[in-house]
Amino acid sequence: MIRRDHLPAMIRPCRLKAEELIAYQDGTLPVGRREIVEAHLSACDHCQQRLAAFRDVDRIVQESAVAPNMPDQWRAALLARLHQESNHRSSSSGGMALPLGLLRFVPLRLAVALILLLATLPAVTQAGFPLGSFVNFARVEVKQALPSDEHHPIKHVAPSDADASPPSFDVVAPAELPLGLMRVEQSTPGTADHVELLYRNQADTALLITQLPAEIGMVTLDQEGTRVETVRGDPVLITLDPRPDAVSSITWERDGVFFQVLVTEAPMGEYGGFKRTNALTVVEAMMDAQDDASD
Amino acid sequence: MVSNAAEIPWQEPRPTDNEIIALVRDGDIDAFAILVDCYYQQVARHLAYRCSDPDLAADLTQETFAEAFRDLDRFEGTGSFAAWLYAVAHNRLRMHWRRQRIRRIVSLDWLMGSDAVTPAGLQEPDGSTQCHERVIVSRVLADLAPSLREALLLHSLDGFTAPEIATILGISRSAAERRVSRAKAQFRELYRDQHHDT
Repeated sequence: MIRRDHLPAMIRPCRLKAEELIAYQDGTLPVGRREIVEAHLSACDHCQQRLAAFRDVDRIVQESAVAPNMPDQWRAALLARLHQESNHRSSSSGGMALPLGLLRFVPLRLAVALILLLATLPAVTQAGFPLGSFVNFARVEVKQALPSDEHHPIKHVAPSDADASPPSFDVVAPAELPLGLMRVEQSTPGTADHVELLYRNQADTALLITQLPAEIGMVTLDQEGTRVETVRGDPVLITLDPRPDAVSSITWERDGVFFQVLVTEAPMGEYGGFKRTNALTVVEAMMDAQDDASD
Repeated sequence: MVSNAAEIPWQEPRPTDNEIIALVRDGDIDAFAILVDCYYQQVARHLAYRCSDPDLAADLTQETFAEAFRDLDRFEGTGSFAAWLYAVAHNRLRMHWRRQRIRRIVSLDWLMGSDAVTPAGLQEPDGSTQCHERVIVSRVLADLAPSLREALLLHSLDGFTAPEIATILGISRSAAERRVSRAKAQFRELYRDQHHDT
């Protein structure tokens, strides 16, 4: 039997990953690993050529680029805008201080009224994330377009069903999920461009991941207590169950597809340990799967 | 009248980004102009590569700087300001795409200068090699998957490392290294094919 390290260097398969060459080129390898890669490069013509090819690509792209010139008035317009915004902010904050300082000079009832008015201002001014522009929930009642004679509002059709039309988009499925959740079903409603993935674990925690084209719209459980968090730079809409840390649904949009993670069944009061952090892990796993698919 | 802070001749060396940011946070809005002047071309070029409309790229560049100014307190200073600024630009662009629901095909015409090179120009005997090269690079970039093109431009053109690209795109470091290496391998192959065809 021929051992791998007995093969001559020229025919021994090279195990240096391309990613490692990128890290070497970036100078971001840990010191020990960098020395190993350098030693390998000094002896391996193949990897030297790979590295040179990477640097060639940089050169070609750089040489083809032309830096755009700043349009006339662009800079002046930006600075004027920044000054305006800054003035607006400082006058807003000053506006809060002035009436409060003058309160001692006004009658008690008027002072109370002013305090109440000012207390409501943050709710008005801190509109926060423009939900409408991101989620753009068209309020299309998907459920109404689906068969209503089932107990479950969505008719589940096995993927093998000949009548089920395949979705128009690439379905994203995470490679693995927390809490030992395993995929037990993939459903395609017969009348809508829509896919559901159902996951369960032994603790009877269940998770439903819904995917559908953004043009159709997505329905959330309710509009009470919705808020937005950012996961990997993407805004994610969360509707919270009133119980601490329990999650009702998480919805987000990527590349023209709406995704919704929904806890459908779980032991009462605990949600099977399915907390917010776990739910965000699911979102990250989905985004990873989508990135890998697009790669 | 808006003063032009960047035209004030700074004594060498120029203040660091973090020093300028400290000035801005202290209320010197015009100091922000120095950052604008430093990064305008990079950010505008990056956005232009990713959307085919030069006017849109200019608008998004302005939105990027305006948002960076507003959110400057969120810049923690642990990474480079450039990477943070690119992340703002990246998110701006994605928000725009979300609104428009349009994935535009990358066109490099605008970046080729005011006299856009047309394919017909390639057939002219006196056409310069440089223009020919740009057309080829343009075609190759257009053939890459958007996520790979994005990673390649950030690495090869803008000079970010894979960890910085990971921060900008909100992906893991290994995913960034994987995308960059795949993008370069595919670019090389497509580039070779293009040269072979022409």
